[in-house]
Amino acid sequence: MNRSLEGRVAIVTGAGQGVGEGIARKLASLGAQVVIAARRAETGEPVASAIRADGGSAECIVTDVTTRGSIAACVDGTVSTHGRLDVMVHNAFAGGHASRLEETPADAWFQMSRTSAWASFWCAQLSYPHLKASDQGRLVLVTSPSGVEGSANIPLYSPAKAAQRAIAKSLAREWGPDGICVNCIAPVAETPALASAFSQVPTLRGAIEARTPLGRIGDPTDDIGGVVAFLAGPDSGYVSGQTIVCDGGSFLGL
Amino acid sequence: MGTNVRIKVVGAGPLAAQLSTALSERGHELVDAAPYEALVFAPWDPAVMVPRPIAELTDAEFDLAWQQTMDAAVAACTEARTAFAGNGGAIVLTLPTTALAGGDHYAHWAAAAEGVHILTKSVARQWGPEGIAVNALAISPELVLADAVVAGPVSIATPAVPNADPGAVVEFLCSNDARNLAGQLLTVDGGLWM
Repeated sequence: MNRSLEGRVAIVTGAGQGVGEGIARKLASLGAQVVIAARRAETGEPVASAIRADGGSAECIVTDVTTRGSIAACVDGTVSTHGRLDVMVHNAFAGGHASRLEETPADAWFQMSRTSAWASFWCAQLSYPHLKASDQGRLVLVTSPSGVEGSANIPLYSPAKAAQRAIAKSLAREWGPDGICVNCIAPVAETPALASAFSQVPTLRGAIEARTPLGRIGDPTDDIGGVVAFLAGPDSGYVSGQTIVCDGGSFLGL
Repeated sequence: MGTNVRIKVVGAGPLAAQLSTALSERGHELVDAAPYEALVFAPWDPAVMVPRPIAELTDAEFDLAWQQTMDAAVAACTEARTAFAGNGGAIVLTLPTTALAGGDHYAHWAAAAEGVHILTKSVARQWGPEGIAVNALAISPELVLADAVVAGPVSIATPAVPNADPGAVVEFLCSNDARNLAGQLLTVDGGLWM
């Protein structure tokens, strides 16, 4: 039984559903003590309960990543309970809806900017002392292939996600002397967010599947969680500043 | 390069001044308001692009770098589309290669620069069918960062083209000759970022 993350403490934001839930389940299955940082207890608590029912360690801390104070409370609560924080995974995102650039509502851009760029900044800054204290500090930012390619459907989603890649590269430089690895994953997975996108753009699923060599959309736990587990674990100690595009081979431009 | 173009250059720093001079010397008309056929977004200014470890970075500093730059980029692009009045045009968004390479103590400005880079692709995809060519021009961090040494090297190589001048390339991107380019990044940094 692989317990490569035994003894590690990880926060996963946006873990109440979708990719975040998949990541949290995978990290917990490998022995990590996982904090489900979810905006709503209604989604976060069931995920934590399910992980515990499977024999893992998890608790929910209600966290709104659009505010510094809420992320600070999550980090402080985690360290207070577990005495350490080794892995910060920032996955939460909101606000992406199809629109023309010139018609994008201000509140949608605010949500995208806050949950991606701003929250990455805050997650990084507030977790830094604890990641530095860990012997294997890891920061993983969940970006998107659209953060590399741009998007014709959600034009401001792409720069919001691109910012995370630049932050990761910069912090890989800045935190390298501290032994902290900082990376991104750009997934395509079956999630409520993607299901919503499919409802907005009915041709999107077919278009994605048609250009994906592996011919399917990823599973949040098995396909995405496994890659994050690698980035969070001991085998990725010489990987930093990278983006792993985890999309079945759809985007081949890196 | 052929027909002279009415160009609006957005930015108050030395990069905007350098590009404005280059375009003016090549015979193009620089304007502050519509109508114009090309927009150059060059807000980067070493007076404000100061390094800061992320542990010490304030919300105000992140707002200045990331939020205000992106808001300005979106506003400039949207205004340009209106100024083009359905006749097509060119949008050139500049950025330091810090966007691509990251920068020690420069996460805030790298985020803004890469945001502008990928905004280029999104806008190119949406507005290309309207005849608007949207492309990006990457320049050396030494032109815009307050302390490019702190940011760290883009490459350990020496420049293949020392003192590379982006003037001719920005002129090309503003011209009709570049209308078949969409969402592309041309880098004029002496060949450090490849």
